[in-house]
Amino acid sequence: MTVTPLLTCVLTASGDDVGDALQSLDALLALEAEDIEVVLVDHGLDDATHDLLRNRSFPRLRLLRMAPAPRASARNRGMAHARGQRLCVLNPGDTLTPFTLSSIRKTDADCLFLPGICRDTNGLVHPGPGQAVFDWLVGASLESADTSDPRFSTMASRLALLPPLPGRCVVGRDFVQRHNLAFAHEGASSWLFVTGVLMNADSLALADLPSVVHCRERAPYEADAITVLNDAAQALSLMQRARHFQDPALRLALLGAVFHQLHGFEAALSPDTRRDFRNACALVLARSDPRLIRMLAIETRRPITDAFSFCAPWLGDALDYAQELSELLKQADEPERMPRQSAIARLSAWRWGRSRGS
Amino acid sequence: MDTQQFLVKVDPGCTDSCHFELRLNEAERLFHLSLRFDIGRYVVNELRDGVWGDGVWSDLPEAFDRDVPFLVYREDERVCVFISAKATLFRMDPEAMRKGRLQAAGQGVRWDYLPPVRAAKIELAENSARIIGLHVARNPVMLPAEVPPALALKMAVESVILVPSYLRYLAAATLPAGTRVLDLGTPVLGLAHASLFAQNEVTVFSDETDALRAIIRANRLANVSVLTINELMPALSNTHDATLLQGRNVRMRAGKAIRSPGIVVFDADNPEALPVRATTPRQAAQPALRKAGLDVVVSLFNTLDHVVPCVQSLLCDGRDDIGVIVVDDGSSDGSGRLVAETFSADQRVRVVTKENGGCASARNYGRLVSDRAHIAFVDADDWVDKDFFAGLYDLALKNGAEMVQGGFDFYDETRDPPRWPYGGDLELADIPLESVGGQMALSVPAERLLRGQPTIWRKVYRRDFLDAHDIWFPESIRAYDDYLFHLLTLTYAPTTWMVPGAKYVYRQHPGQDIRQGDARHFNMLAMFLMLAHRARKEGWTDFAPYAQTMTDAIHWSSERLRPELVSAFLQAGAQICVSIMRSWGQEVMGEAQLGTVTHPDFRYHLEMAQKQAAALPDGLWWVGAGATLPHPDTVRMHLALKSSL
Repeated sequence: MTVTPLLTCVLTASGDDVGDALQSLDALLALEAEDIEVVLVDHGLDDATHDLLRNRSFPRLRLLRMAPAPRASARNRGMAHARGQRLCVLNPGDTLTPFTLSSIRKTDADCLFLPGICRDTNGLVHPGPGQAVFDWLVGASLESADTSDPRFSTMASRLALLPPLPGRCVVGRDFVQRHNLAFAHEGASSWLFVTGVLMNADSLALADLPSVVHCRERAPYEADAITVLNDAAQALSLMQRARHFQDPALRLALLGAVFHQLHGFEAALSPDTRRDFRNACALVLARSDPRLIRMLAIETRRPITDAFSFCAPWLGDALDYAQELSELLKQADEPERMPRQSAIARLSAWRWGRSRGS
Repeated sequence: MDTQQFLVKVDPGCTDSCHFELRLNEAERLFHLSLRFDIGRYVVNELRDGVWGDGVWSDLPEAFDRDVPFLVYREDERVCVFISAKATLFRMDPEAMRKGRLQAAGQGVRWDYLPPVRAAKIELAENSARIIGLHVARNPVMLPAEVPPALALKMAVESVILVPSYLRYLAAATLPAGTRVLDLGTPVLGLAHASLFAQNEVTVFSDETDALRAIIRANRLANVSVLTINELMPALSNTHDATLLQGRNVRMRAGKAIRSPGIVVFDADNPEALPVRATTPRQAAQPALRKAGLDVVVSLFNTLDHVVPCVQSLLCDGRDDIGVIVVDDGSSDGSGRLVAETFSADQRVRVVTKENGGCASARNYGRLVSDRAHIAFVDADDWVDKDFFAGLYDLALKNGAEMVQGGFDFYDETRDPPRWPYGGDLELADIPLESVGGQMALSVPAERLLRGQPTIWRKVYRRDFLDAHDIWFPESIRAYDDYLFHLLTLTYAPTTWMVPGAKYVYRQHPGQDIRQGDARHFNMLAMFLMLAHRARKEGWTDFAPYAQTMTDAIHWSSERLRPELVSAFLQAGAQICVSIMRSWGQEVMGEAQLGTVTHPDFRYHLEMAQKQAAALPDGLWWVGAGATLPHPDTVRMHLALKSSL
């Protein structure tokens, strides 16, 4: 047994998903891989189930217990306690495959993306969500790239089209710590984390064999609809300050991926909540960088959406949806920039007043 | 060398003929393959400037199966079509090729371009072509000359169409190490398995034994053997260990033999089906049984100097119904060990250790491990006057109150005198004392406590009250967690009973964390957002008291934050204020509240936040939309981001 495991898998379990979490745990233990450490964060199990987990005899299983909290908070706790060189956060029910470790050993890229498979509720296996992206990248012989490679941007923008499932990528623990990567605490999706990975990575790689099993094809969020928007807003806000934001294809891919998910989410809502959801989506757009909204113009985006049509045939619809939302904001004036002089003058006056105790 | 490889399949609806071609445009089709089922032949040809050339005609094999794809391989100007055992060569015009880029096209067929990692390796001679290698699960496999062309093509095709689904099966099935693999007529799958799992023995059952043995020799595969198909049944009947039986239509072909225990099946014609796997049954949840009593939870992290006197002060003489749970939150100074050793003889003190997760997590953990009906939370560097908790607990038993609290004093050893009373309690002097079962106490309305200092540590709580309202310390924030707890308890309990007399002593530290001016101030915004979300979900009618508390706190933080964080903080604060204004109206978040924040930039951010979505209607959904920087973790991500500047 090595002192530092190669990989830490972070799993979470609460009262709602304990069955799925146990399934993941069983599958991970069945891999009989000593190089995998499993950090299981109990964020709301009853005492009996917690004791059941505590009694599992697996030397690399570490059980953390916290009070009932959103899954994202539990993931952040698990990541903080990971000891492996690499880290992978799994949805309850998801697991790794016998091929994962060998793929990880082959690369030292900041982020290794894992092609997945999906096991449905009938126990049948299918290609995982976003398989077209992997197929396209393999077809283009783009299985690894770093920022010195001109094709890095092509690879990153395609990977941005993957559904935001956290188990899709294995990242270095030091990379996570260096960039303070976290899940949006009270949120419900993985956008912030996945966006943080893509925006900070200097090198990307693909695993060559199916390396993650998704329990079933599920929406990446299972929570309050409007809370999901918080995650979207935070992810977009992070993206627009990043170095890679300068790449229009990546910018549009991420914007499209976010609004594709939101569009799908809206379709699943009951009519009475749909209007609020649309308004909240429009608010997310309003708070985004105006350069994003300008990208929505048909003539600007068409060359990019055409190039992405194999990986993401839905991209055009998603951007149409975003454009439709931007129409809701049309009545509002363009926000003004703060006049620099007056801001400084106001600030000095305030500081001056404070120093005199007013 | 410029190469391309395509796997071409005839559409199921195709009747008489179909074609596949490589062309520059409609009039320049430099390679054209036409399959004529009506006459049982196929032709390779070219169309130049709208004129067809002399084609090369061949007969379709009698056993040609339209469901099985065939290969088209291009190497520079030469193209080779592999159909059954036959390879047909064609040479395109190299001059014409230079005019543009060749595109694949066709009618009545579907085709896949095979990237190099999936393509077969093909050797073209002057008048012949041969498949000399494959990629099986990304590993190269050599096909020696003994392999007949038909088998080579079958393996090349199966490596593309069967192996991906086989890999998905292997990935999801997680077979135990040492599994015996019996492959029935799909040697590519056998080779794939052998190359991926060196510890598993693979036996391929086939009528092409010589050819397969040659492949095994050429590739030095030690864990593969070959037997004839007739030997399958005896092999299956001798199965005792874990066995994987794989192949096409294998369930039908193996019959009842596959019912033996230990056998799992991969049927290449039904590749989605997984073996059923046993999983750990979930133990039925037992309702937690709580006994009467009070547990005082002490959250401990590196407080070596103060923790022993703290615990000592909590113990009440003659009261074994009041216990202490010290939660050592990953201390590195041995303070947890010290407590355990000091109180080893006292059954009332219990020390539990956990990995570090912050004060909130330690308090919650103590509550989770406690089995008593009342609970209290104490910081390890504070202490209480004699029998402080006995007095509170007795009152809680007498009147059944959700919360009972005592008074408290501040303590700062650098001041003279070091101990002084909390001013907020002095303002409660107008509330009359009442006798509750002979004990004097006062009933304080919640609104009198809402704007004061959060003091969760001088209270005793009824556990079922906390559980019923799902009140926990939020572990996702490392400051202000007690503030949220405080606000929620006061929201759900209309009154708090207070016992005068003995007091809690709250130690002050000059360098207390929140005074550092760093991103931790964003915890406050996160905390108020959590509160607002809860208010929205539960339909609270009045958010006004919290709105005022919130703007007070934004103002307080804006004066203490480091300059580089002020703008982001005020922007996020303004977004949240606007969300609350648009959700509950200007009566709740209006000029009276917003005027509290005096930083001049706050107005600017407020106006920006209002303008951004002025066209959108009011409603409670505004709360859910939150802010772009609501949490210190998000702020830290921004600060650590690889930005363009």
